Order: sequence, then structure tokens, then C-alpha cells
Amino acid sequence: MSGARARWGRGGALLWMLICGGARAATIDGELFERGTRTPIAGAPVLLRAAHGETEPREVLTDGEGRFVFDEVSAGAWLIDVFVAGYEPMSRAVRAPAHVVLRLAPSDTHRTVVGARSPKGAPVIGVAGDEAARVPGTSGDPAKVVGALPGVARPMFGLGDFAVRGAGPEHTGTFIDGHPTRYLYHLLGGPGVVDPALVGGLVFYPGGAPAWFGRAASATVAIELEDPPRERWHLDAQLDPWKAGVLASVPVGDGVVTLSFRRSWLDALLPLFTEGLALGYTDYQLRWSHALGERVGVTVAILGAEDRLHVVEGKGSRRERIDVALGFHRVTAAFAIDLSPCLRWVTRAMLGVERSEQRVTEPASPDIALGEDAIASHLLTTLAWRPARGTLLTTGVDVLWRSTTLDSRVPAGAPLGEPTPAETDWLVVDEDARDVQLGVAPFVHAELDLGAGVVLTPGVRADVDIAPVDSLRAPTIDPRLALRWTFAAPWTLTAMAAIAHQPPPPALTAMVPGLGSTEALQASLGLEWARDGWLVALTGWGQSLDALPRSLDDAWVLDRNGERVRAAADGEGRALGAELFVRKRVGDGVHGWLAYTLSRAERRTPSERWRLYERDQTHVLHAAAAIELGREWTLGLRFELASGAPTRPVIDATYDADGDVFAPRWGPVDRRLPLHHRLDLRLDKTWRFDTWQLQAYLEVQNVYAADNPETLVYDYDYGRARGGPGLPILPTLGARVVY
Amino acid sequence: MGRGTMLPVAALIAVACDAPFDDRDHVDRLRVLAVRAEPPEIAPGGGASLTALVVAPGGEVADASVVWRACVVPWRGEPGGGFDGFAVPGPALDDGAVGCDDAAAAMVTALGEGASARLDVAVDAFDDALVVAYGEVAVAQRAQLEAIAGVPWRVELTVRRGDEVVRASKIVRVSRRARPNDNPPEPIFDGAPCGAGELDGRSTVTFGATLPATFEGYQVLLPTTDDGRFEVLDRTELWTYSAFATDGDFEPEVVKVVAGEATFTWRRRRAADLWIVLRDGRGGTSWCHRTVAAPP
Repeated sequence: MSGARARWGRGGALLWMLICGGARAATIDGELFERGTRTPIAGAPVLLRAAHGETEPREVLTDGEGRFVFDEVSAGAWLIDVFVAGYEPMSRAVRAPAHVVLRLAPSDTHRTVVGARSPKGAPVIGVAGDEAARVPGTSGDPAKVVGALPGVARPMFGLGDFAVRGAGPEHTGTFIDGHPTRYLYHLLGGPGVVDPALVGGLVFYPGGAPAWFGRAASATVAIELEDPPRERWHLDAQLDPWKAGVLASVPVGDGVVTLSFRRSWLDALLPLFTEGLALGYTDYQLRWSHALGERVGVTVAILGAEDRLHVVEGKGSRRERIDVALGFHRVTAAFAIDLSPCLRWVTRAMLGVERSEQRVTEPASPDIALGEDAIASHLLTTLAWRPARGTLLTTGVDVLWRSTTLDSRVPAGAPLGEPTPAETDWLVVDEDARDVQLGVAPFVHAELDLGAGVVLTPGVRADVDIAPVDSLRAPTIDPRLALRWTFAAPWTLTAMAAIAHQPPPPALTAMVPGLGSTEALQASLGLEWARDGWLVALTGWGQSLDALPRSLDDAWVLDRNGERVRAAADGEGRALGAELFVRKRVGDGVHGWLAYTLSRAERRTPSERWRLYERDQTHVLHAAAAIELGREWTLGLRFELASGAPTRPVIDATYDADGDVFAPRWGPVDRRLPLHHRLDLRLDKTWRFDTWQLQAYLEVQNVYAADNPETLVYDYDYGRARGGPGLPILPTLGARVVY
Repeated sequence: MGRGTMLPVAALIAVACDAPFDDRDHVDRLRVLAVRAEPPEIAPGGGASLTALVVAPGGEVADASVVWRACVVPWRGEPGGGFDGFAVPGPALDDGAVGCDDAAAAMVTALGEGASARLDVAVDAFDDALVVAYGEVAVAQRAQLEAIAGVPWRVELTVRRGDEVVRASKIVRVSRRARPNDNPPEPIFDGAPCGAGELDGRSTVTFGATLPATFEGYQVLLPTTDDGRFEVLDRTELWTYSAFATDGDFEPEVVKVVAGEATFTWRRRRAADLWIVLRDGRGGTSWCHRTVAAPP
């Protein structure tokens, strides 16, 4: 309670008592919460006025725990009025003395938005978890919003492999709390591997990411986790046709312990509809955050995910079973300390295991399998110094150690001395390999507000391999520079140039230790207009990729010394494009964005001429909007339009009379699949009770059941082709209870 | 990511593709079901006679134009697993189908036109073909190639009947192997040889062959060593039966021979022509044709 107002309140009450002949004094006190969440509303004005008569009203402010007190109140009828920005107004009749608990419902235009922090000058799109979760097609999962951002090619079937600005999906770095992660999404277009309630925000850098992000040649997708409210215990349960999940958190001292667990039930549900497909996934997080005083914070977490996919196709002797298993489990610890008001030290460490296995089984044929086990450890320590307003210098070290064991059982290709083996007689070879990598990357990053609207973000990172000692890759230097120049508000010029390197995957370095890193050269130039919650950005960009790796393991390629070459980093890529991004921030009842990308991406190997990259999409348009309809109803729409994927038609086919198969002859990549278009709708409703809330949503993906083939499928002799499958109309009804 | 998502994508396509395409065991158009070289492997200076099993919905085809040719194409393995492979049907690299029309193909020879043809390989042609197939290789490698792998002489045939055109290929291996391969014997039905008349209307077809006491072993080369030499691998013949008919379909379509007989379940409605093709897994081929009455 502010001193002046409190004194006025008490004086007014005394005056009123004197005027009214000294009626008996009483107290009206109470607590003010947000309805449905039990979050106290602090600093809110509470007005007390007499129900009858014309007495002067009294006003107090709630304290940090939402409490308020009116003392020296005469017995009788009173009215309490509360007007707080962002909440529905409330008026409550009470009879003194009284203790009241008031719960204010948020107004429809109010929403708590927690944005992920990102460098001021970097070319970045930050999406708050809550904003992202209401984008149709995400099923309430903020991690899935990446597919609707500019520069991102539409992935097949809506899977979570995002190719950005002409690079491959393998060039997009994905991070959870600063640590590289094997995958962000569950299989087959499933949700993110982290409970949405823990996602504080998602940051997407199409290129030129800050220097503490590395080992990715192209874009960066970073998810920052956050704790549930610390002042109370919290329960969040969710249910939809695909999965069920629960999250619980309990305040412990000056911290909070959170446990979340989600499990799909598709492996139980799908067999009711099809014999051919079963999918199950699980993810979990156990997280403890603790504040040691005002300047030190510690977070320890255990998190992981497991996916299992079983597919059976064909019949009889051609019945084939495909099993895919992916998983990761890790322990992370983060320590942050404010050494001084302008100096902050943050260290994050991770130790984890990763596993992937793919197996194909056919009757009377040898199994084919690829397995990859890895133990990985990552350390990221940063020291951020803000010597002056508008200047932030960050330096640190990023250390990654990864030991990978590969075991494969794969077809040997065509051995010399017999025809192409028939499908029933694959010749398979077993191979085990191990790859150990230890890399250290010191970096420096700066954010410099030079005045006159100019913000410069330079950074540099050096990646140095320490192991394996007998085949060290040459060190790489990744400089990057981003500029934002608000030359005439609301107009801002943006520019970015960066060089980034990415080591080849362990499967290739295990065969060819020391195989060189892919080098990407990225550049962009843009113009932004921002005012009143609106942003319009037009950006042109270019990207070149050098030393793209590929396996030659099935081929017989010898070098000049007669040594066999099993993998090479000799591919090249180039892409040019332009993006238009129009965004309306949360507020005023409508938020959303429109993202259009025009681009061309090409590839070549030394023996090729430039050709279209398989993931090239000339036009990609995403329009996403959420409209507040009132009474906590929200309607979300998303429309997606993208050029069909390039495809190589089959010119003709020859019957291989030895192998009893048809061998197609492919034409050049000069055709595309039909234009892809799709509309998703989402309707959200929140029922808010005093201490808890019920949220429900209905989402329909591909509302008008557009036939969007993801590939061509051919007859057994390639004589006929037709469009393959695409995403069908897919309704989802989900519910969430938050206490 | 690419490797990680490759199989899930393939799986999705596979599951959703319960395509109404025709069964491959149903002869509903002009087809080549098999090509036989007698013998299937030859030595330099030797020759082989070639015949094709050309069929159509009306039975075996005698009035089609069959044009034969042969060539040697460079062997280059199967480059794959590229940096971007799976999104587009077909190989990411420009390797296409390797055939006699390929720019790298050499020693293209017309073998004539007709129901059968003959391939003869002179000794000096074999030496030239080794270079075409494998390039200039070290002496040790050349010895392995001559004695084990040989030169896979590619025979191609183009069959035309009216507007229909089909193409087929077969490898005739030319090598200095001590024991060249032989063709397997013709399949037999219920103990009766081919040409023994019409079979009764049955839904289950049982057939077999006069099997050797043990399946023959042979060697192949694998390019799996890091020093460019080949790994020698012992293989054993694996015989497979494939069934084709002008009506109905078979379950299974292909049977791997693990005993003397194989059984197909055949669903059909009419009288039909039935062909069984037997392959030994390394180029040896034989077949049998029977007509079968309508099911009762």
C-alpha cells in the first residue's frame, strides 16, 4: 500500500465515522487473484464505497501477495470495485466486517506473453510460447511453429525436418536450453519433444545466429525452457487423440520442482484402424530451479524422449516390416550468477545418451539395420558484460564431446560376379564403427548500440577439433556480422553476413576420419517497417554451401594412390531468395503473420551441372492468424501454399531378367509435383473457474481435404504413375486442465 | 536428420500406398518374363544362345519383333546415400539407368532380330572389355576380376508388337572361372514335365525341380576393403520360383527354394496360361509354361 493513499484512506474513514455519529468500526480485508490460476495480482487498486449514501470512496493497493485491508470501516453494506488493466472489471457487495477473495478474469485482449530473449541486432524471429501454441496446425505445441516461418521449406507430411533458405534439413541446428539436440519433434509430424507448458519461447535464426550457437551450417532453432509459476503448486494435464500428458510443479524454498510426462497412445489406437502402422512416443522432464539469493540461480534437469515406429506394408512374400527407434536422455545443469550489476556469468552443462535404430525385415531375407548410439557431453559457458548502456559483450567457450558407435547391416550393393541380387537374396554386410569427436569453440559476441538508430552485432567463433588426434579437421573460423539501422522511424535497414561450418555426420566421419566440414556463406539485406504492433519486413538473401558430404560406400571409387574413397565432401549448393514477413503482435484481439518466400536452390557434385535441389520450393506462403472472439474463444487459421517438390520422372524402364525387377531410367529434375495448398483451423475455448481453468480446442488440419501428393508412386514396371499420399483431413479435439 | 527421417517418410508412403495398381504376376500386357542364355556364363572365345520368354494375355507371343544387342558398360557400383537423397524418387546423382544407350557404354554390338540370338565373345574382345568395365587396374585386381567377376556382358532386347514396346536386359558373364555356371533344370508340375498337357482347374499350384544334392557355391568380389582390393566372398546359389498367369494372382509371388517343391496359392476365375520361372540367383534361368483349366 502506498503511504499517501493509505493515509488518505485511514483519514477518510475517520472523517466518515465522525460524520456518521461514531458507528462501530470494523475491517474489510481480502485477497485478489487472477481467476483460474491462483496468481496474486499485486499493486492493483481496490476501491471501497458505501452501498448507500454518498460517502467518499476509499482506495488501497494490493500488496505483493494480492492482499488488501480497509480498516476503521463502519458495519453495514459496502461495495468493492476493482479495475485493473487487462482484466474484466469487478464489483462485489460485502457487509462489514468481511474477508473477501476476489478473482479477476483476464479480458480477451490480455495475454501473458513471455518472449525468448534474443540479441537486439541479430536477424531473428522470436515467438512466445503462448502465441505459437495457438497457431493452427501446431496442436497447441509452440515447437511446431517453425514450419510457418519465412525461409522455411514445407517439409513432407509436416514432418519436423526444416530446410531453411536453400540448405538441407540436416543443416538446421536445433537446441534446447542452449544444448544441441538430436531432434526437436516426435516422429511422423508429432509434437515437440518438450511439454509445451515448459516452452518459454522459440527463437528462429534463418542465418547468422549468435556465436554461441555453432556446428550448424544454416538456420538455428532454439527452445528456451521456463519454470511454471513459483509462488504456488501447479498442475497441468492435457489430453487429445494422440497423447496424454501431465505436468506438476511444487515450490520448494526459493525454487520450484517440476515434473512432466507425456505418452502417446497411438501404438494402442492405430492398430484399431490399420494393421500397417504403430507409433508410440514418450517424453519427460524433471526440473529443479533454485534461487540462491537475488544474484544466483541454479537449474538442474533430466529430460528425454523415446519414439518407436512400426510399419508393415505389402503382403505375403513381399510383406516388409520397418522399425524405427529414436531416443535421447540427458542431464543438464545451469548456473547463473550476477557478478555485478553489469557482469553475468552463465554456465550450462549437459551429459546425455542418444540412440537411433532403423530396421527393415522381410520374410526369408536378411534384416537390414542401421544403428547409432552416442554419448554426448556439452558445455557452454558465457560471460556477459554490459559496460555501458547499449553495449553488451559476451564471450565464452562451447565444448562438445561425442562418442558414436555405429552398427550397420546393409545391402552390399551389387557384388562383382553375379547379377543384381533378387529381392529375396540380398547380400548384406555387417560393419561396426566408432567415431569420437571433441571440439572446442571459443567465441565472442557483441551487441553495440552505436546511436543514431544503429545496432551492430558482430561475433566470431573458432571451432577447433582436439580429437581424434590422428585425423583432426582443420580449424574453422565463423565470423558473423548483423546490422540494424533505424534510419527513419519506423523504417529499419537490416543486413547480415556470416560464415558457418558444420562437421559431417558421424556415419561419414567414422568411414573417413577428418572429412572436411561443410562451409556456408550466408548474407541477407532487408528493410523493416514497424509500428503499433505491426511489422513488415522484406528481406533478400543468398546462401552458398561448399563441401557437402556424401557417402560413396556403395560405389567403387579409388583415389590417385589406389585407396578406396568411401565418402567425399565435394558437393556444392547455392540458393537465392526473398522473404516478405508481415506480423501483427499479440493484442487488440488479433495476432498472426504472413510469410512469403520466393527462392531457388540448386546442387551439384563434381560430375554434375547445377540442378534443382530436391527440396527447392519456388513459392512458399504461410498465413497464420488468431482472432479473439470474446468470452475466451479464439479462432485460429493457417493457410499454406507451396510449390510442389521437384521430381525426376521416369522416362522408361527395362526389365532386369536376372533380378526379376524393373530398372527405371530417370529423366532430369525438370518437373514438380502439383502445387501444395492446405487450410488449417483451430478453435480454442477457455472456461475459467475460481482456482483452475479448463481449455479445449478443436483443430482441423487440411480442412478441405486437399489432395497434396508428397511423391509419385509407380506401377511395378513404371508404366503408370500417380500422385502418392498426402496429409488427409485430420481433426483433433484436445483438452487441458490447468490448476 | 536426413538419415533419421528417411525411413519414416518411406514408411508413410508405403502405408498410404495401397495402390490399385496391377499385380506384377498378372500378365495383362506384353511382357518379357525371362531371358535365358545357354550357357549363362562363358569363357573368352566362347558363345551363348539367347532366348526370351515373351508373353501377352493370349499366351506366349510368337509374332513380336525382338531386336537384340549387346554391350559393355563401366561398372561403378551404386553411388548413393548422397547429401540429399530421398526427397525425389530415384537417385539423387546423375547415374540414371546404365545401359547400352549410356554414353559410357562401349562395344555395342547388334545381335540380330528374332525369337533367339547368339552372343560370341572373342578372346581379345574380353581384354578390351575388362578395361571398359573396370578401367586400368592393378595386376592383382585384374587377376581377381578375370577369374571371379569377369565382364558382365549386357544383352538387351527390345520387343515390339503393334504399339506395345517392352525392353529387357540380361547379363552374360564372360570370365575365366574354373567352373562356369549352368542353367537350372526346367520346373516340373506334380511330377510331370513341361508340355505335358493342360492342368486341371486347381487353386493351388505345386511344382518343383530336379534339385542338385547341394546348391552350387561360387565366389563374388566385394569392394569393401580400404586399399582398393576386393574382398572375395563365398556365395551359394539360391533358387527362386516366380509365378505369372493371364488370370488371377499368386500368393506368394516369389518362392525361395529351401526344399524340392514350392507351393503357390492361385486365385483366379478363368482358364489361364501359367508360367513358372526358375532362377539360380546368378544368371541361370529356366521356365515352364502350362495351360490350366477354369476352376470348378
